[in-house]
Amino acid sequence: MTSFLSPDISPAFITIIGGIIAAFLPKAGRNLIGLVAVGLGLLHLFAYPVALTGEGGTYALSTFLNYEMTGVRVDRLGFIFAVIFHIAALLNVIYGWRHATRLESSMGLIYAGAAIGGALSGDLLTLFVYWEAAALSSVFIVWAGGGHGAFKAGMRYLVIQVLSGLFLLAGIVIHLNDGGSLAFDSFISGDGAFSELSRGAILILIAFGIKAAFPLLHTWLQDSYPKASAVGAVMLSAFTTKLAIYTLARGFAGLDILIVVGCVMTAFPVFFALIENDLRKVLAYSLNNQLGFMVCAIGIGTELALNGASAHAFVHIIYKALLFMSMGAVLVRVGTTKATELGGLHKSMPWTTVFCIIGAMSISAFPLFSGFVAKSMITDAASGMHLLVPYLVLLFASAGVLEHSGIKIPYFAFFAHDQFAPSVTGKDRPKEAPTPMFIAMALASFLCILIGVQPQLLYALLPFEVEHNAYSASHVVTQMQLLLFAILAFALLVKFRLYPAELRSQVLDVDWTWRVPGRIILMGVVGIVITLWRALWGRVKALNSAINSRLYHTHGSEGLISRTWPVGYTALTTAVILGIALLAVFSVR
Amino acid sequence: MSSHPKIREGEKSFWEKKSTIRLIWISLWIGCAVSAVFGFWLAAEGKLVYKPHFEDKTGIAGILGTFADTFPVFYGVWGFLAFSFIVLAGQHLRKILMRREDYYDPVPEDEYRAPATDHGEGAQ
Repeated sequence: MTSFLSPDISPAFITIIGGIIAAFLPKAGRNLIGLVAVGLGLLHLFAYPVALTGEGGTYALSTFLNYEMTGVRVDRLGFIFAVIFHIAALLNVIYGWRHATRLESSMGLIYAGAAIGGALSGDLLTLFVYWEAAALSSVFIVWAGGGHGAFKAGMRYLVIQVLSGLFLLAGIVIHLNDGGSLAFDSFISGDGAFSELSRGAILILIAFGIKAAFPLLHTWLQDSYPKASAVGAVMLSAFTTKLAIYTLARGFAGLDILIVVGCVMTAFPVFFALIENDLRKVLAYSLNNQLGFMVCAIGIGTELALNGASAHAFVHIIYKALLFMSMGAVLVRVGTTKATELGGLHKSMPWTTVFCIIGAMSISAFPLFSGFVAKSMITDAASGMHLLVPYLVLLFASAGVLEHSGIKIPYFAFFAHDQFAPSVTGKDRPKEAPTPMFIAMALASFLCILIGVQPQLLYALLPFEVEHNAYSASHVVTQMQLLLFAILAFALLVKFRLYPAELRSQVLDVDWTWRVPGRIILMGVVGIVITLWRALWGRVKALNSAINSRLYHTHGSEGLISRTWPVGYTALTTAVILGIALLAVFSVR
Repeated sequence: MSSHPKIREGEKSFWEKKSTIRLIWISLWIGCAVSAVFGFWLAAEGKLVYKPHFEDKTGIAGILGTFADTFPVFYGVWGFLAFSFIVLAGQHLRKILMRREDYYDPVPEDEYRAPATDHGEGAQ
């Protein structure tokens, strides 16, 4: 297929330029330019040879300060991420058709473009530019959530995202100084041991780890995403973390420590998601847990594992967006996504309920849904490498996913206790989701099921040739056992009143360290600096005023020097001086 | 904690009827039983796993590995235990990590609705 554009022009530019133009257009124009830009970007992407032959290629080659730059690299690993970023951007445009603000429409496209550009950048400096562009464009989407809470969360988000950029830049500089290449390829040498990584590579790993929400570096995600608007949270859910997953897969595939990191990432968020009241924050923890599956697969590093990570990122973007969309529709109709305030919405929002359940079944990896065909690759990769503990942790985390995303989200939002009965509220029930949101959710649901029943469509996009049969009897039976017995556990726990009720609360996470003690320490340091400065400045001022006072005393308008002297006194003084001079002259002669 | 409003009988949907809930329970038990039976069938056919993945493990790992490779209802048991552990252990995190809703951004006392403290009460 021949493109309408030179291959040297990244598909990212089309979406980014679309986003810039959208900022100046009215709502209809913004939506239209969004559709056109993403559509053209996708067409341009599919015109690269990789789409037909699987052959990767490098374009936009240039030299900068004696370094070889590769502005565009389209190979199979980058291609699948670029494709899904386009699909996510398209869903975002449709979902926000009526509710996206000017800022969200515009920045949403620029943000998507930055992620696409990152996935297609062939060198580290180009990656850095897109890395920062993604950070700067997305913070506006957090801020667009409105209110002081969103503003402050946005500031924290920005600090952490920029910090990631600084780590990346520092890592690149050290990597180059150590004789490394500017090309963005694997940093792994030898057998993938962490101890063999160079200094620059470690800094770059930290940069990627921040955006991939590694444990302890993760709270920017749960802090900011739930504070964005209904539309904004859907936009945010797709790009930053999956761009980081792509960069990890490119740079650190097979790094041993990532297996441990991934396992921790899959396991710990399930406990936070259990006790969290805000269902969009539950989804943010769920996102973290899903990233763990991908990070673990990247750590395993085999072809099957990397296929699994890519496939999981692909399907995850769709079903996570779908879940955020369904909660966004609830937010638009009810004004909150707190579990304590919700329940019984299936009666007036049946389609949103169905779409949410499709998302929930996909993320829980029910057979015939998209999560199943991707997740089985990762668990197969773990068992195939005889990694018993990671395998069991991944199974444990699968039960966790079912708990928070498969059951908790749909159950508390749409079933549980009916909070909207007219006999209780005296008002009509909330309406079904607005039409554009409905269409976007329907499309995402369709994709979840399509990939679930026709996995070869997804497998054709994967970085490596696939020999994986998700629908083997063993896969289906073992997965159904896991899910059905876990659902049975849920039903029994609820029946025997052992399932914790939702509570209005704030659950503390790692960000507490800088939001409370960190803030106290910072304020203490500020106080000490203010006191010292006042003391120092007080001394300087006292000294200054003493000097001024003395000078004034002598030279001021009423000082000694400026005083008016009487004529007689002057004449006497003159006579005395002349007399002394006369005597002096006589005595000398 | 959420209030549990009593709604009129006519406002209940199909999914809230006792007969439906009973049907769901029956389906769930049957589903579990069928998946377990299929597990035994696969094990008998030697298809539970394509090849033993964890036969070289020793000690506790060896026991767990053999269990995963050969026990026909391993995945059901693991799913049940994992889910129960997450729910039963996870809720105790509230004792350490749960604060008032306005913990980070306090609102005036008279506007605040304090959370109830009856953790153990079931959601149903």
